[in-house]
Amino acid sequence: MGAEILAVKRLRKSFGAVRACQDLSFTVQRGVIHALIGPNGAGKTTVANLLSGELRPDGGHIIFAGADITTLKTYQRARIGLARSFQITQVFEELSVAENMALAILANEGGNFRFWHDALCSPVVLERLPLALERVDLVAQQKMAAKHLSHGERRQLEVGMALAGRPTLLILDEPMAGQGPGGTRELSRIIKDLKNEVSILLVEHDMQVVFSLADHITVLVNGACIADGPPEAIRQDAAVQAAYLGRQ
Amino acid sequence: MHITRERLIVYGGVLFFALLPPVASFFGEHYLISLFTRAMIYALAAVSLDLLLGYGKMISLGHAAFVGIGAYVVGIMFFHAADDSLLFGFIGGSENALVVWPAAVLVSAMGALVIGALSLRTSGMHFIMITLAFAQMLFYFAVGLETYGGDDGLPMWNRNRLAGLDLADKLHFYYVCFFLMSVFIFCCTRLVRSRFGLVLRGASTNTRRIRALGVHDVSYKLVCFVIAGAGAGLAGALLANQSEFVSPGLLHWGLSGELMVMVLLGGLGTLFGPVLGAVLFLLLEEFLAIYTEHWMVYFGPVLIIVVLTTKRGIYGLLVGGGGNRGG
Ligand SMILES: Nc1ncnc2c1ncn2[C@@H]1O[C@H](COP(=O)(O)OP(=O)(O)OP(=O)(O)O)[C@@H](O)[C@H]1O
Ligand SMILES: [Mg+2]
Repeated sequence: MGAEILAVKRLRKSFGAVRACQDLSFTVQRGVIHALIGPNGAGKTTVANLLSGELRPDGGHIIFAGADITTLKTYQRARIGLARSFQITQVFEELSVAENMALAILANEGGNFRFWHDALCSPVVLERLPLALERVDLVAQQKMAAKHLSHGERRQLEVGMALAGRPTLLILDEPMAGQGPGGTRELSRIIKDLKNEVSILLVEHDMQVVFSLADHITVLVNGACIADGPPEAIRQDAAVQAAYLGRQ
Repeated sequence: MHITRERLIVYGGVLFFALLPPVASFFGEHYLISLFTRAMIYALAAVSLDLLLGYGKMISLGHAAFVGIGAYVVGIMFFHAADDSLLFGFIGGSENALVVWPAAVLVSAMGALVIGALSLRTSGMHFIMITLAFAQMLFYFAVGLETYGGDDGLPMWNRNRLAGLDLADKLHFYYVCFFLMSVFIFCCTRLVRSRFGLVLRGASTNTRRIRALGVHDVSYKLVCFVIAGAGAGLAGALLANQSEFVSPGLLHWGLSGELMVMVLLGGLGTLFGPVLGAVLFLLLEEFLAIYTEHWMVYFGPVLIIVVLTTKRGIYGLLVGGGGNRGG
């Protein structure tokens, strides 16, 4: 195991004529916030789906923590420490916030074929739930059904659930999607706090957020990587400015 | 202890079932005891179906298959005990409830494992159709079982034996059914709140998320399917004893539909609701049928109104706030 947590090698994926991912290669180092940016339709979510296993690539390899995971199923990838959040919130609408979070904690623990004792009273949950809720600021809302949360709170739950399983790599697909300035600040703070705990691949649209958080940036346009480097270099990259920043 | 409306209704229900036989006997209405015995057996099957429909979101139109399997195990074991022959050339028959009933549960569970494993490769409309297809297959298989009466069914001359009790006695049999139904429902209330239950409810509300969290959702659904099948198998064993008769009708999709109606009428995803649903269904069938054989014509609209206007059936109305999903 090297300093890399993730290596993507010549990854390809097409939807009919749309080449959403073309020979994409990049690596994510351990313990950093690595941003994946690009204009609308650049293929960012496609990459996230390929990494999490929801989509099968047409070609290429994904190496996670030294192991080739290209053929693993989504749940198997999650089990070995690869977690994600979704651009469009995916929470358990009918369950309470506490149940959502408890489920996220338990899911990765295994040993869930237990039929008798109350899930919310199991030792792992009792131990980890309060902190997991506090981290995303949802302690007060824990009894509410997820569907009754505000948009911002749902986004916090979304990120909180991805974190609850203590992943080694966290893929956040536009965590600030649809957030006002207040929500964006809140989530930026949450993400910054995570830096020492988990490596993060941050898919983001908001340039200000990216430049304030990221240690490393990969720029995607039309499914291909056009630039890769530290924020300062990306800021000055002519190709990026033309293809991406210029449009802002 | 805090007494919620839900607790009150559940305790009330338990009391009702416990006191029904003496009260019915006092008023000389003995037939009520058998009517409610049947209601409790149907309730057991309906609650098991609620696990599938309400908690696993698996819409099975073939649940009667497992009721039928359970009933046939009892009937076939009785048959071989009666004429002292061997099943498959090596299994002796039995009339002992402590042997036959667990066997019925086990065989139904195994049937559910096979049918579930194959059906769960699909979802949505396909799942409905494939469960229906399996149940109909078993129905025609039973029709073809000439040795065991085929079309005409298989009569039993007496009920199973259970040490210390006389199952032929209305009261004994009533309380045995009451006990088994209560135990099953209690176990289900634990189950839906357990780790398994929580993961199952998650898997049925959002497949993408549950997979991204590291759960192989199909295994949980399959286990739920097997547990539901086992419950239905127990109901089948009891039903065979109640009517002392087993017939292919028990595997027919008509029964699957009736069970589904009981669940929806009583309250989907409430566990207690289906008991109410079963009782109401049988009462209506009993009393509306006196006036007209087309009682379903009147019952149909009632069902539609209940399903359209309530969130959790009649149980949801009684409890208020929509009822319990186990959380
Ligand atoms: N399932 C799919 N079927 C067909 N085309 C798809 C599918 N998913 C994505 N695409 C196409 O692939 C391209 C990349 O889409 P993707 O969602 O990955 O972009 P994105 O960078 O995440 O965009 P956004 O910033 O809007 O979230 C788009 O042209 C999109 O229309
Ligand atoms: Mg996207």
